[in-house]
Amino acid sequence: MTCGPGIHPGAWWLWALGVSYAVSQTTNLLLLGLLAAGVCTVVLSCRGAAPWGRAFGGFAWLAAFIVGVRLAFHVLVGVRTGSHVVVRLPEWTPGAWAAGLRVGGVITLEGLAGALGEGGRLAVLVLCLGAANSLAGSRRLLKVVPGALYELGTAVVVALTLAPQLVAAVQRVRLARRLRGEAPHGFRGMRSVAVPVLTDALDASLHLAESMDARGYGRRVQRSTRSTLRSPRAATRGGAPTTTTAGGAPEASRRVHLAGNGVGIVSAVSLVGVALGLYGMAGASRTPTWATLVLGAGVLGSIGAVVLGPRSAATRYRPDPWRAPEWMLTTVGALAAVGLVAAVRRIPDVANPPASPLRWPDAPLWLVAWCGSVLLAIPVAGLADRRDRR
Amino acid sequence: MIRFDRVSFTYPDQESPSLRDVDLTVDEGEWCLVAGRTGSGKSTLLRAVNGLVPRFSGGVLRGSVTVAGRSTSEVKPRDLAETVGFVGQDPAAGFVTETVEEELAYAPEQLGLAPTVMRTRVEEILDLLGLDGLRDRPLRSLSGGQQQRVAIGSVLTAHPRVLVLDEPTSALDPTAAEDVLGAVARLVHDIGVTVLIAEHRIERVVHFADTVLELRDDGTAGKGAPGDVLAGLAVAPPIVVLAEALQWVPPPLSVRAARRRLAADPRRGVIDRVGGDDRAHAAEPDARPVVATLDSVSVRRGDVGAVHDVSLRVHRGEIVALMGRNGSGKSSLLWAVQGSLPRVTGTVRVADGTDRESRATTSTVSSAHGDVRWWGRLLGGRPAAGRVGSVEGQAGHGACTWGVDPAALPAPAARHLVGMVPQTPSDLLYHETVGEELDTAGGGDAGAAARARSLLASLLSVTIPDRSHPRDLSEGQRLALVLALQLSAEPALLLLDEPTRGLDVPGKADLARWCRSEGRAAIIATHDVEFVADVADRVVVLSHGELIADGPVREVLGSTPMLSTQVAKVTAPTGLLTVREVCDALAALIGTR
Repeated sequence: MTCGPGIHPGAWWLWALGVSYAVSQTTNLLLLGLLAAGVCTVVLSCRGAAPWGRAFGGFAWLAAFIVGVRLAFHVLVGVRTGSHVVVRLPEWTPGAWAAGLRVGGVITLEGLAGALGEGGRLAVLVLCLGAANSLAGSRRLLKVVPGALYELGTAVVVALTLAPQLVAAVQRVRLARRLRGEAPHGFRGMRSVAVPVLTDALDASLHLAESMDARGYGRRVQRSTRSTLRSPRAATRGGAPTTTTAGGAPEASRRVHLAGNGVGIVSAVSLVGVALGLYGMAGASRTPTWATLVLGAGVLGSIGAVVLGPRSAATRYRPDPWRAPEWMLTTVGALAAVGLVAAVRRIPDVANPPASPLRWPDAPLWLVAWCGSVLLAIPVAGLADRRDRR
Repeated sequence: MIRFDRVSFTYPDQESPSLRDVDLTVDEGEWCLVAGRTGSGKSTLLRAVNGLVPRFSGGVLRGSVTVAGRSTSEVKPRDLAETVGFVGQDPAAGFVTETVEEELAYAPEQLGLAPTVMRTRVEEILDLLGLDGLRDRPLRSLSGGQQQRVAIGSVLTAHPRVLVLDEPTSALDPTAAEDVLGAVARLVHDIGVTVLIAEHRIERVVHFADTVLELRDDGTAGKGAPGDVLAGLAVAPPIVVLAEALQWVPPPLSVRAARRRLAADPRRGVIDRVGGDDRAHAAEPDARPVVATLDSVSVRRGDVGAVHDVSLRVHRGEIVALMGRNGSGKSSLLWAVQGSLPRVTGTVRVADGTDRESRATTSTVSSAHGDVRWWGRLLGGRPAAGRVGSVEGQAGHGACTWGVDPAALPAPAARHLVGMVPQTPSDLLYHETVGEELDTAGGGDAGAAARARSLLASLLSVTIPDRSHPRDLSEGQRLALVLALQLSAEPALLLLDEPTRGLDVPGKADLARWCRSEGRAAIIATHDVEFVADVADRVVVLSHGELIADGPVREVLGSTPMLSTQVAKVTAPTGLLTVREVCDALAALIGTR
């Protein structure tokens, strides 16, 4: 079944966001395992045939790797607690210059369980990211970015297109190098592969730029009464010079550029403001007033720049609709988050079990069922699929 | 519709202009073909129509270019999108999105059309170009012809009044090319688009064209009716050359017209008789020693089988043409023979140097054939014409008891067995100058470098200065350079993948002449039937990776109209393939009378 492509990509991201918020609330291995299983099931039954659908496998490997690394670190330099000894490793203390550090030593079940819980939480978060990626696809999400960011989105799309071509070109050139009887090794070998690949890539980008320009990419409209500025009649209003060199811009478009520059400066200043504000809020235990003010001003400035700035004239072809199934999917994600937040409030020992005394991970039945609710995404996505087929 | 007024254009850092005082008027609804040799400025002219030249290329343009009353000096290419649709040489290089439908919608999106308008336009173009069945397909998974149709569709959704096409069919097989050109012809009839098209394979386009613009090597141009302009042109298609040879004035431009002309020609009977003689002589076994054998070779690429169970023998001095649609496994087979692409099953054996010598001395039968037919001699320098052999001709040479598998050898040794020139020859070049490329021909072997130099000199009429950069060479010069590099290893077998792609008619003639005189066994994968007729001894046809035909050129090319040369179509069913054969036959008959 492929029900993924029918749903708005943003809805999948919101669902994954909700589930990952739930995941971030717990280190209970039972709950983590349930959520991970739920996410995996949804991905396997809903991902489409598109190339990004296969990205999930990579994320799964990354998750396993994270758990492994976390355990390895615990065995090497972890904090030792508990009394259920698993194995005694030879211990080494570096000495006074690294006081408190201890390599090796007694490995306990409690310590391992704690490390597994923390590593598992991060791993399931990665799985959620992978799920969003393989169900929605970053490329499809780019289609729904706001108009002011349209050109940024195009740049990303082009980069995504060129990357696999670059890989193919490297393979092709390495083959060609073998034809000349040379095995590309070392710096010379790298150069001999890089030169044709990069010149090809440059040519390809230029061709792409031409093709995009010839099809109207980069037309702009000004959000003001002067929006007729770039109409053909206005653009040809000037004199008729018979000689053109590359880069000559007519007067009209120069004015648009100036307006664009002004908005650009405003948005850059606003972004710096946002960064400063966030820094101020994160640094202290009580948020200083200036940080709130700067952050607020920065956010307002950014929004203003996006709304008022020159934007491309582009419209969207068959935009993904946002209707009932999308709302339902978002709710499913939010439900998971709400359930785990409630669990942390009411039964903190279950949501984040203490290291000792050592217990099997356990959870009340309602919480288990609640975690299973992430699976509701499958029928909801099926609804959207039927809608599209209609 | 399009007006060039005394246009001259010079690229930056170049002395002489690429276009010189070009005056051109193309009327609304006209189909104008731009003809000229490689490097005569065809692409430059086409790209000047919507201002990509000089805005993207740099350089200085004098004079004025106006399209639909708007001057390109004042209007940017992007603002001309509804006026001029430009499709570049490599359709895949211009794709922005991932699927067919999105690609078609790209231009209307940029123009800011309302969603409903956009939707109807996309559907309309999908139908017009027969792309409806492909609408959800990823662009990279399409065949060359399909990609080209999508590229044309992706500019048509902006409803341009002028369509500019730069070599739309050069990389396509004959069927795909007819698909694409048929689609364009329908546009001209249905919507009345003005078409400006540049094409090396003039024979494919000329019967559609209303006018032909000739671009000369010095950058000047002249325009006129197709028959008038093409006669006497170096790049003239075979049908025009045939007309010249038979003194038909004005020359017919389509196969149909030429057949009617021939039917009325008194020499018709003579030509028919020659063809009859030819068919009477069936293929004889090739007595030359075998250089390479392929035994049930199968190759997989990714999840799909690219080549299934292909067996083939190549004799010394024999040129085998490998034909078939785009994606039929030609390149895969060549790479498998070369050894870089792993084979699933099957063996490849190539006679190594010592083996070749011993074969040469032991085969006493070879050149003693007394029955080389009279017309065979007349065909000129082709080695052993008329003695092209069947596959089973050398059954005595056991499959695996001799020769070496190139895949089993390290790369430096393998290239002495098999030399290959891939589809993009420039992949092999990475030095700053031609001199450096030649010096490193044999990995530091001075003998190889010297051989490469003399080979390059023999391949080209003009010498390339050692200091020039390989990227600055013309397509033909670059191919010659790579050929020289690969042949400096003196391989027993030469593999060429689409060597005629960027070559014009004289360039192809040079390559063909050289291939015939070299006398080296070669497998050439190509779509170019005219080139095959000129150069090959034998034709092997692949379909979906399977070998479906293997036989003498005359037999295979004569068997299906899709693989026929223009002359063969005109003179059918005589089996004559090239103008040279027709002339030689006529001359010989007159001589013997």
